[in-house]
Amino acid sequence: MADDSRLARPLEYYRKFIQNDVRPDERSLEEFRPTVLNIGCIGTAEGSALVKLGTTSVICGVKAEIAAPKTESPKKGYIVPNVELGPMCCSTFRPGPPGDQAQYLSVFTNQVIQHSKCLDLEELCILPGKYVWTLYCDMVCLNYDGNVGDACVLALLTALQNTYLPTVTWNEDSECLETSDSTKIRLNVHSQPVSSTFSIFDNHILLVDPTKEEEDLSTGQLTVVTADEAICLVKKPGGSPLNDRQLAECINRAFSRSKEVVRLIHETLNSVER
Amino acid sequence: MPADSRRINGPEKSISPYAFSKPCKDIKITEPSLQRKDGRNPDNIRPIFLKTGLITQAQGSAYIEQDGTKVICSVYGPRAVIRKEEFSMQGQLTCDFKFTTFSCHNRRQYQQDAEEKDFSVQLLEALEPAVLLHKFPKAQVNIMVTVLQNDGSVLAASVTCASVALADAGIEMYDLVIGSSARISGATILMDPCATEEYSDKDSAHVNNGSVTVGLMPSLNQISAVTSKGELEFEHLNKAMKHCVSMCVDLYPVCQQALAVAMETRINADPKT
Repeated sequence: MADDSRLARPLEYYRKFIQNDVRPDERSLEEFRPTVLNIGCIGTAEGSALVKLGTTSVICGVKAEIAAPKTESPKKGYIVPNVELGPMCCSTFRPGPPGDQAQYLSVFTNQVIQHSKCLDLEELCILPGKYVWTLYCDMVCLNYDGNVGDACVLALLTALQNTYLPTVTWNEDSECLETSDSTKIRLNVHSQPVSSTFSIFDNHILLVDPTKEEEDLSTGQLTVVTADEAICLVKKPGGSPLNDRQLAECINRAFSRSKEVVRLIHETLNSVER
Repeated sequence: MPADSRRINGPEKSISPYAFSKPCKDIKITEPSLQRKDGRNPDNIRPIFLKTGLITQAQGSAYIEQDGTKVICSVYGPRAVIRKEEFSMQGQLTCDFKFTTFSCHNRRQYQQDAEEKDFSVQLLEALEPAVLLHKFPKAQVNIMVTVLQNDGSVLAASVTCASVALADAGIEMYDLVIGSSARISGATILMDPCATEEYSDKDSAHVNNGSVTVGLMPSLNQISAVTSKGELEFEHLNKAMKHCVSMCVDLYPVCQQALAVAMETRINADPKT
């Protein structure tokens, strides 16, 4: 019976729960789903992380390659984040080139990296003007159950902190590069951007960490990215308007979430041996 | 190549750092009775982990891990045919095989390459004989296979993974299809080869060097697919296939158990159904 009304009249079904300040999955309105983090799960990548936000799961692998830098910035390396929402993770995605949402998320993760300055691109230099590192960070969504953006940012950041680059040196005598596998250098991550997404239900109620069902029913969405103690990015792509009090509430919640996530990352990095 | 406007683009050209590492010694395949690099005997296979139902959005899904080889598969359907195709009273099966960009030693591209397309077709042909296609006329079932990490024997792992995912989705089948592979090098037969032991084109100069992958339906005792690479003598190929078949039979209980566990959790979660 309950399942029938959920399918036939999802909005009414949700309203009944939200009147009582609870969601159908027994969460309160400002509660995130349990977050699970695993690092170093892909042996063929230089760094990797798997994030599970409830049932949403995203895996991120970092592949490092050597390229020539741009002429205007001879010391700067590259970082290339891309989000893949393949046909595997949800029935609505089709095989082929990335769709609108995947493109939006790729740009979003790129902005997070740029604005938070979590990597110093000059540290990716091997030989100025000739060789720099380029980090290809591919985030593959395995199961799409809402709030993939937050999961992607968390997966990307954790994978970067799990990245170890082989030592590459320039041999002046033979004029070529030499790679040594035995010593690996850990990548320096300078700040900890954490993203928190809120979905707006019925034009005025805020739901934290929406599931796919909640995203489909929502009338708007708001994403706040914090980096350590500062706000790094706020995104509200249209939808129902919010007042300043609600916005302040979201930002406060985003900061408290950021503390939880940073603690989780530290615990995982310390407990898992690479 | 024009830049892909739908993705964040990096530099035009980049090379793997391992291209500059000092050439390591040629990996020699060991003599029979000797141990392999990872400590296995030639007949031994790697430990297997198999779990169903990880992708909740799909009708059925499975994840298989054979040491360094990690494959995840989801099954959608039966659902409406997307593109207008010819009317068919038989159901359609489609297969989409993809390596993630970070799954191999050298970085892969986003677009499906020739090897992936070849694997898609081989996978489809291995699974088709097992599925009761006439049970879902005018509809199609889509199988999506993604390799998270490649450490050899991916096709064999994918066949097993996909057939378990099909069963998890409740698609009617005559039997599961279990995959297994072997590397043949002279008189030595290595079961379940890892990436360094796999057959590659540079080995083609040697005689009697190759690999074979078998898909078997164990309870029917029928082979649904065989593919072999390299120049092989019949008796060696035959022997390797027999080894593969017995490996499939050994793996069968693992798959059955994974499906039984999935069914139990499903019943416990919702006693009504």
